[in-house]
Amino acid sequence: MDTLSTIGDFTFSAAVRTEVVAASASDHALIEATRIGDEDAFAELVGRYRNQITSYIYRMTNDYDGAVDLAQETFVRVYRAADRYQTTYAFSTYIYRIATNLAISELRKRKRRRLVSLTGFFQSKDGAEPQEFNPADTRPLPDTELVDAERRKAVQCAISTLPEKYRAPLILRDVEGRSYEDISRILQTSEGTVKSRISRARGFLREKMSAYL
Amino acid sequence: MKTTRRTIGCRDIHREIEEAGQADPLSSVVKDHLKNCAGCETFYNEQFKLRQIVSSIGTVEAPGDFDFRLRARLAGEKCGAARPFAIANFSFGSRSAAFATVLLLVASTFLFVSLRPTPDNSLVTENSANEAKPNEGQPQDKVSTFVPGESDVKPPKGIIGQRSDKSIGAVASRNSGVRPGTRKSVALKLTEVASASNPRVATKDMGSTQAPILKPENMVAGTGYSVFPIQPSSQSLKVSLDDGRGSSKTISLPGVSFGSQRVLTQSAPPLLASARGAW
Repeated sequence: MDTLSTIGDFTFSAAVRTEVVAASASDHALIEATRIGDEDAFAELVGRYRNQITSYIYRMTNDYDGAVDLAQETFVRVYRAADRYQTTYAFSTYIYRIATNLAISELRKRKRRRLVSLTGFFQSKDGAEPQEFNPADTRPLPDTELVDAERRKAVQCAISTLPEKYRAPLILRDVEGRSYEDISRILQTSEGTVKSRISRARGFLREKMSAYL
Repeated sequence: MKTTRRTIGCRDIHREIEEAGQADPLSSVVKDHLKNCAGCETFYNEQFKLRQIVSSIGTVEAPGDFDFRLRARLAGEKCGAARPFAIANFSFGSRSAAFATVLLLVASTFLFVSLRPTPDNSLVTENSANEAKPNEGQPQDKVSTFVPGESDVKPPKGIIGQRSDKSIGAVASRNSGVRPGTRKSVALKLTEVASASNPRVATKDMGSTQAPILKPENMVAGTGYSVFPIQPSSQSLKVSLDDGRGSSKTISLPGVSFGSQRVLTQSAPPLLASARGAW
């Protein structure tokens, strides 16, 4: 596979890309084209998945800048491993697995170097990591938009307090809307385990979000 | 019985509600159950609302310069791959290990070079000369000297170094007093071969030969002195003294140089004889 020599060589021109890569090409076809050196095909893949991957990692880590970096690392790994890619499963499963592994590694790194805040931190019963959590203000707000923003923030904080083994399946299921089968492939566990973990995760969230239910 | 069946039914209903997708319609069995079970209905409502809230957080978008940064990163990795052995590519631990390894190699090389025994070229050369012309320039009438190569007294031998193989073999054979073909001669030949393969090695093989023995008749008449075959340029000599009753003593004699010994005549008085190696 040809490699890039300069930044300029890696052109992402939308017009050129449209000519070279058909928008309807499957992910497998794009990764095959990337393998033989078609950088426009890789650019198309990046365009398809950059928002999904960034969002998924952001939900996992609750840190936007870190999520962008990890999303980039995800695509770098895909590019590097294009030669070894096997079309057994969907490409989305493959890239989500890479993103999940990177996100979990990042969470573990943070856990090792975490400084526990002296202001009220929130910890669940089942060994969930302590995270700062601002309880929801249940007073009525004049603006619905503000209420929604507050609720989204509370949900994100509540999700980030979940243990990582519950967090990933919950996000993949309820935020990303992926099937149990996909989730079990991404997390490399059985479907039964995935269902069980999602049920537990929802139980934790129900306790934490009781003010909004 | 009726209560147990109802409990099991609620568990199944809960499981079905949990496993159903948000857009998936509930089965008629579940719908009928929800109409008759307030607990399951509450569970369903909470579950539905929770999933709505969680899914409402939506997705965030990648920044506008995501592609540019990715391109830069890939191009940077390509440049890094072009020089895979650059020191900057190593982690701190790898760099430290590499530095320690290089340091260890340098130190061990220095130690090896400094502690390696150096061949004593002057000793070899002088002994070769002595063996070639054992009595040259020695006044036999004035001072009875110990002469290497004489039949009754065997000189220090086995000095093998930067000499031709033939002369080594000849000297070794003569000094050891053994015939070729014996075990001693074989040992000497082995030493000879070893030195021939590495001409910088000089060994003094004392194990297979007899040390020189000083007898009373070798004493300088009337002076109580004896003459040892010590050349002025020799380093030091160890002498083992045996009183004939079993007790022995080893004396180390350092080489002595008075600077003007080269101009002294061989007929110097006994006291000056020490200056040219006579003690």
